[in-house]
Amino acid sequence: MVSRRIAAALLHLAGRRWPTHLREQVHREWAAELHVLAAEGRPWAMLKYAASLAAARPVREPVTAVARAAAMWRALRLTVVAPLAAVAVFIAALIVVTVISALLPSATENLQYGVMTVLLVAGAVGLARLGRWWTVGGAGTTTLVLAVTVPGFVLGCLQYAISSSSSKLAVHAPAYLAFFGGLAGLLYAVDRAAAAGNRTRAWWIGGLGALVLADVAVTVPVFLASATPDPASAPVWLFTAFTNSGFGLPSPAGWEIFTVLDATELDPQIFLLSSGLALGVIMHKRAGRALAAPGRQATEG
Amino acid sequence: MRMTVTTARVLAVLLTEPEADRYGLDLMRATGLSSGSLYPILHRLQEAGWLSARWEEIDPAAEGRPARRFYRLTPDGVVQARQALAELRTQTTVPAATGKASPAW
Repeated sequence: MVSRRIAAALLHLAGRRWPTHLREQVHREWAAELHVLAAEGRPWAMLKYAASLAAARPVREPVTAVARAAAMWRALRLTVVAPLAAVAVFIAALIVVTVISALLPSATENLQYGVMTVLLVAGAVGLARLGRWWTVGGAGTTTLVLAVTVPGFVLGCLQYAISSSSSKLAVHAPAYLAFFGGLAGLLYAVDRAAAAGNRTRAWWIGGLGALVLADVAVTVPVFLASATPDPASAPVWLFTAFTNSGFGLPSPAGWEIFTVLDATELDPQIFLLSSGLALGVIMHKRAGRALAAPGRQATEG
Repeated sequence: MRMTVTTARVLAVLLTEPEADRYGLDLMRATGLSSGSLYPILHRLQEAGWLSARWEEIDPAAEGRPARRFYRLTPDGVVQARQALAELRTQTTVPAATGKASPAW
């Protein structure tokens, strides 16, 4: 019955406007009443019942100044401190590689790139753990998706806007838009898979999806470079950017490898670290909610 | 407890049978309030400790419907509600006109 489906969707919407610890309870209560109206064959009463709840003013619980400050800190931690932590991870990896190069003059460029990539992958895993701890309990999926994609996009564009010419920003901004826009969509899919209880599948979707997005996004500045490598080798460019290698393939080779490294700059590294943080936050948002609302119940008789 | 006209209507209905279990649709019919107005009031009354809630004890499979949520005034809620309604009545009583009314002309 269409009206029942619409009413159920409205009730779902209405439930989201209630405090997190009450949502399940109110939704169960409303669904029971909706069931009775449906059994009585009253579609308009069902729609009126659900629409009124969806349009009602959200129920807000009194918030103390301490709780408000804590909520602000959690938001700030996720949108500002976490991206800065990602920058710190990158700088730390760079320092380690510099030290290795100084201690081992024989270390080839390929080895340096390899070590840097291994360190950044470890950093991305660390940021995923950080995302687990720093996810905001009670926040909706859209809020969290925006919180983990917008700062990365802004930070990525900002580094070109501040340190380089506007022409670089024009080349890299579309790549960032493609990656973080795609990541936002991907995070919804990951959330749905995790909500369905298949967390391993959700991690695979997230990991492989982010890899594909980064693979596509890094091609943008390379294609916009003055000399473009053979487009047939485009799927490999991300890995070339991480390893300084053409993997013995006909393309990319020689100047093409240089072009890929030169054109992509820090984009692959930023995409990698941002993916780790974003997946950690989304994958653990339900655990964060549970921590935020430790089974509080309304007054029971 | 902030007393509004709609809250007073809900309390008045609940006070008619303080020992009876009332559920959402039932209260909506009795008060004439919409669901969007009623449930936030019920929530506020629960938070204030005036109202208790429990799930209906039925076998949903046997009854062919899910369990409802029942509401009832707590003993303290009965006292507080009567007092609040009495105060509201006092505040809203039109004072009796003094002296003999006469035309203004």
